[in-house]
Amino acid sequence: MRIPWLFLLRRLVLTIPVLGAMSVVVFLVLHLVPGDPARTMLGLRATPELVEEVRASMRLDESLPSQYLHWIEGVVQGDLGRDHLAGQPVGEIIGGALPVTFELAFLSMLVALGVGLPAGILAARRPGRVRRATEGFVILGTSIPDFWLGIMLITLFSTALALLPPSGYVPFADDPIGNLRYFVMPALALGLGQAAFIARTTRAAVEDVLRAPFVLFLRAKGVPEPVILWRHALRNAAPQIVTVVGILTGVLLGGAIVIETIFGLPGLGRVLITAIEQRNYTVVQGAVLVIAATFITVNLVTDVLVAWLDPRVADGGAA
Amino acid sequence: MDLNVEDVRAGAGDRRISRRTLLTRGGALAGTLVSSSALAGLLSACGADGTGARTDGAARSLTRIARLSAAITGEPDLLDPQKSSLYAASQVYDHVFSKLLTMDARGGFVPRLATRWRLEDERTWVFDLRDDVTFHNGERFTADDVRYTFERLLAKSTASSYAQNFATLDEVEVLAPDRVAFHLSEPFAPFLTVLANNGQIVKRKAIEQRGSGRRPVGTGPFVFVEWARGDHIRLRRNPDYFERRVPYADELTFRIQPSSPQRVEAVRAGELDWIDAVPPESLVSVRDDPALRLVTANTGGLPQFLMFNTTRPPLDNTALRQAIAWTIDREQIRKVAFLGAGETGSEEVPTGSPWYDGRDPYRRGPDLERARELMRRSGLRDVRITFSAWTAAPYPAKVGEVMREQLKQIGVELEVRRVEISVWLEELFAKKYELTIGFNERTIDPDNFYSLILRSGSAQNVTGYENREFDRLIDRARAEQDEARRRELYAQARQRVFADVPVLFVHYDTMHYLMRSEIGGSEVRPNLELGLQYVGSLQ
Repeated sequence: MRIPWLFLLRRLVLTIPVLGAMSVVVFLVLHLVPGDPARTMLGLRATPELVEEVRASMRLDESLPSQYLHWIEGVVQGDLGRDHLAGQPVGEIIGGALPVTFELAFLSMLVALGVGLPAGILAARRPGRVRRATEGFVILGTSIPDFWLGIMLITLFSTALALLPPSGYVPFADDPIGNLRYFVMPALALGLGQAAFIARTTRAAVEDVLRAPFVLFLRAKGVPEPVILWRHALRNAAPQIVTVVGILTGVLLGGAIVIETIFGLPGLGRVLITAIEQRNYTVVQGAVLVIAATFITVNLVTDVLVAWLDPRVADGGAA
Repeated sequence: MDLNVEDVRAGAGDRRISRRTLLTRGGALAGTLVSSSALAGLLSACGADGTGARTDGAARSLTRIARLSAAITGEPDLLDPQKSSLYAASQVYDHVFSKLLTMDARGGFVPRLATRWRLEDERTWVFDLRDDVTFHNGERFTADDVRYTFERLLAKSTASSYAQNFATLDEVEVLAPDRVAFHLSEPFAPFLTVLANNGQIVKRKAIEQRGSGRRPVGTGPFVFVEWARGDHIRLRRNPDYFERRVPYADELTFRIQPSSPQRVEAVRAGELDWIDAVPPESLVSVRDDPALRLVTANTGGLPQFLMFNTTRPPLDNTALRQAIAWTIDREQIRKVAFLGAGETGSEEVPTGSPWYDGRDPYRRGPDLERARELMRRSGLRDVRITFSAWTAAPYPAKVGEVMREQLKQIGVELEVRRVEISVWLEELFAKKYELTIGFNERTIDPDNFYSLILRSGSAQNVTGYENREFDRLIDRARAEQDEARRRELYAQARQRVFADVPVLFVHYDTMHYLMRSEIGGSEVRPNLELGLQYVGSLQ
């Protein structure tokens, strides 16, 4: 069980060119997409002079490479620039939204694991009705859109039963109970869908392992079933499960735009979509970079975990 | 089209209102009448307590409220009255800053930082100012602040979207610490209206020290506390505010939430106390709900109008545009695309505006015979038009789809093309569109609309409309101080627009404010100032 240092190092080094390529792509896409930020900001009240003035203040009259270099210079020093509308540091804007997105991701993952793991394991161990029920759950969970589920939950818990607030947010530090009440439904809406993915992966992985020759050997040795399951089977199924969980977490951390909008949560998804509509270039660029870096980090941690669980991976073998 | 002022103010019997509205409607009349000493006395009477028409029966029945939670549909760009270009921002900063004067629900001018005003000659307005006002940072309000504000507004480096409204302002002269004179380059009748819309006074020191936009410092009823982007803006009561008894709320929080039925639920559940817009599909249920109060009026809102690109075929053909105008059933558009909300479009102002003249020839509804005759006269066959529906709101596409069905009746094929708002703006100003739907915020005085949208040479004239006679009428109406004559000039100008159809008003979006029934004091004002300092508890 040693930590695969070389593996880790190799992956870390690869991160830099990946982030670099991402920054170029997001910059180009933004600047080449039609729709001038100055005009979008000024709306119907734009006059040619005003547009000129605003473009100059946003450095849009400079060449693309020059604008890119100016931005990257700042990023490397930790300065993501300022938002075009109010001059607020982009880092501040993103920093304000991250706690919300993190909390949503964390709670959704809790739900997803809390429901998905047991469901998958149960289904693997007891074929028959239980397995079919899990399969049904998996199909429903992967097909039902999370926003539909979110709206149904609001209709049930807010409108009909008046148990939970339909939308809004208060920081955990200000009001822990209130904060959690706002997150119950969004976490459920997101988490249940992901629970389905986890259940499916868990069931398949555990089933596979339980069919392996070494399990037959363990049974022949007289090892009790629970020990086989918890100590041996899960350890071997873990890499696959961890991989899926890693991907889901990375996606969650990118901000669940629709859920955040429905439930009025000021997370990264909402910041991003608003900034795109406003053509607030620096905010979009900064947010995409942060999301990419987060995703890469989560992937890295996932891969290291998997390599730790299954040393064959670190050595280049199959999981 | 029956929109009643479901006003909360029971027994609002302010005797001064009728004389004031006579005096100040449109702003121009004040100039010619003010020489009479009786009226001068009236003005000073209004100034005496500074609150004008606000001291009425309802104010006495409202009590303090600890927390007022309001929701607005958009996020402010920045809380700087000169640099911001969004209505959402003014919804918030109008509570932090004060103007020299503002409008009440009937469109009359009400003093704020100014106590009285008079037109000294046709190009000079003199304002007397209050001397008992301090900014939230403790500094006193003086005439210098007024001068600084307007210099900043007009400065090129500020790049203010509202500079055009003050294009006729040459100079603000400080006559005394409590008196200023506005020198205009030419007679400009809408001046008071423009001032009641966009003249929020700022403090130079606060702007230079704290930076504008994110931590505003004003003289208004509420003091800025915090702004959590994407979520909320919090204000607290200004204990030194110069109007007595208000604000009723100790804390005012603006939550930013797009318009949706969830907002209505939030009001019912007590999560929100007041919201600025009700989605049309919820209007029916809220009207019947005794636990809720809906405030709406036909005196203010947003005109929505078709814009025809008259610079290129096929819509450069006047007969075709007229045919379309006679074919469109705007009442059906209102019912289907807007779910019955608002008023049927007719003119740039709503039916409750003093400028409404009711002489729109198309208002009686479609006349297909006439339309077909016009189509024949146009000489065009197999007409195909692309309608650009911007997607930031659902209604443009819906309007387009209803129109597509209606225009089939005269053999015109309409294609509805959805386009993102950034792209739409570019195409609009490059005149690369054919037909689209637009809106013009803060249309209170007809000049706000016609000078901007239809006068030849205006940067916002994206229809390409050029009619010298129309321009002459508009220019004369701008300078004419006599209100009755202005009204007639605009009526004539409108007839030109009805005949040439560079635009066609399809809908008037009236405001709907929703709150629980124990909350009162909310009114719709023509300049769309929310006035949440007047909102309190009815218990």
